[in-house]
Amino acid sequence: MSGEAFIFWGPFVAFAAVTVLYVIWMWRVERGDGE
Amino acid sequence: MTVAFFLLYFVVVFAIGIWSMKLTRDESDYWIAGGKLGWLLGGATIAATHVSAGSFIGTIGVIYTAGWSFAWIVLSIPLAYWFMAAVLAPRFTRTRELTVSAFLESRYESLALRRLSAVVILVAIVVFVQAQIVASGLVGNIVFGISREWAMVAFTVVLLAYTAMGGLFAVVYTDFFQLLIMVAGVLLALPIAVHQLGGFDALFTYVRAVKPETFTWGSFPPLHLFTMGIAFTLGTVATPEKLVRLYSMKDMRELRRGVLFAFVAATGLNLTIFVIALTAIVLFPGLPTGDLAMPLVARAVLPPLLGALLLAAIASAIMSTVSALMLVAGSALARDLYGTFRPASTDRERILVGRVGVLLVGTAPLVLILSGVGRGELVQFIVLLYTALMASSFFVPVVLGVYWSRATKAGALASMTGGVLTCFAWKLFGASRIDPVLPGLLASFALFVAVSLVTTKPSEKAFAPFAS
Repeated sequence: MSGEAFIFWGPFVAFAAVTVLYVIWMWRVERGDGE
Repeated sequence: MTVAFFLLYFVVVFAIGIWSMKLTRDESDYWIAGGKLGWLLGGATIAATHVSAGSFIGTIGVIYTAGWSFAWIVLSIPLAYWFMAAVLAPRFTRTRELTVSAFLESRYESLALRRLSAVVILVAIVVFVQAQIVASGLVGNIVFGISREWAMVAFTVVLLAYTAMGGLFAVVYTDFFQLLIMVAGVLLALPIAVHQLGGFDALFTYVRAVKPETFTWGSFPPLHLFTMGIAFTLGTVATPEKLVRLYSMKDMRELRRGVLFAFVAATGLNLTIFVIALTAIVLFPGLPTGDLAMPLVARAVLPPLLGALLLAAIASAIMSTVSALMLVAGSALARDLYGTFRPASTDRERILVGRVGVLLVGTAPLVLILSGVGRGELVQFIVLLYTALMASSFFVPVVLGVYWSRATKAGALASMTGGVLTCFAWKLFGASRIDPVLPGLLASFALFVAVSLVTTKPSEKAFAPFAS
C-alpha cells in the first residue's frame, strides 16, 4: 500500500476495526452480565 | 425554495419544543429527560450533540486548508465513547444526579467544588457556543441573504425558544430529527458532488493536481495528530453535556447500544463530510477561509432542494450542539449556582428558574460575538480549546473520582483549578505544537493525586456508591 493510500484509507479501516471490536466487547459483557 | 425549506425546518423544531413541554413534569424530566432514554433516542442525541459546526464548517475547513491527514482525528470519537461505556459509565451512573456539578458535590462532599465547576462550565460553554454562533451566521447569510449578525440573532432566538421550553426532552427529540437531516444531507450530497467531478478516480486526480500535498502528512505530522487526538478523546469523555447524557439513559444495556449507535453515526458523518471537503478543494480552490467550503458546496454544486437540505444539515449540526450546551450551562447557572444560594421549593419554581437560566446563558455568547469578542480564528480551533478546557478540569475529578476512594475534595479543587489555569496559560504562552490539553491534564492529575494524599482521608460514605 502506498503512503498516499494509507493516509486516505487508514481512518476508514481503523474505524471499521474499532466498531467490530466494540460489538464483540459489548456481546461479551452482556453475556457475562447474563442479560 | 431554500428559504421556504428552512422556514419549514424551523417550524418543525419549534413544534417539537412545544410538544416536549407536555412531557416535562418535574426537574428530572427537564434536565435529564427523566433518565428514561433508550438506545435510539439516547444514541441519536449523543451523536447529534457531538457533530457540531466543528465538523460541518471547521473540520472541513481544516481538511480543505491543510489536507487529508487531519481525517485521522476521527478515530478519537469511537475510542472516547468506548472509554465512556466501558470504564466511566458503569460506576458514574450508579447515582443519578441532574448535573455533573451535583455529582462532584456528592462525591467530594463539597459545595465549593460544585460552584467552581459550574463557573468553569459556564465560561467554557460561552467560548464554545461563540464558535457555533459564528458558523450559524455563515449559514444564515448564505440561506437568507441577510447579514451575518442578523443570522446569528435569528438562530439564537429559535434555539433558545425550544431549548428553554422543552428542556432535555425537546433537545433529544429535535436532536433525533436533526440527526436524520444531517445523515440525509451528507449522504445525498456526496454522490452528487463527486459525480459532478466525474467520479472518485477523477476527484483524486484533480485533488492531486490542485493541491499535491493533500494526501501527505504535511501540515499534521503523526505526532501532532496524536496529541490533538488525545485532546479530542479526553475532551469528549469529560464534557458535561456528554456526561449528563449518561444519566439520561435508562440502563447500562441501553447505554452500551446507544454509545455504539452514537459513535458509528458521528464518525460516519465526519468521514463523509471530509470526502465532501475534497470536492471543495477542486471546485473552489483559493478560498479566503476553509470555513466557507461546505456552505459553498451546498449553494453552488447541488440542485436547489439538495443544497437546502445540506444547509439544513449544517444548521442542524449547530443547533443540536448548541441546544445541548445551553441546557448544560442553564443547569449550571440555575441549579449549581443560583439554586445552591436560593433553593426553590417546588418543581414548578425550579423549572422556571432553569428556563430563565437557559435564556440568560444562551444570550451571552451572542452578545459577546456581536461586541467583537472571539472572532478571527478558524472555528475548529476554538472548539479544540473547549475540549482542552473540559478535559483539563473534569476528566481527572470525574474518572478518578469513581475509582479512587482516597481522592479528597481539596485534591479535586486543586486539580480543577490547576488544570484550567495551566490550560489557559499554555494556550496564551506555551508552544503551539503541543495542545494545551496535555499540560492541563498533567497538572490536573498531579495536583489531584498529590493534594489528595497530603489531605485528610475522606469519609467512606461519599465513595460508597462507586465502590466495586
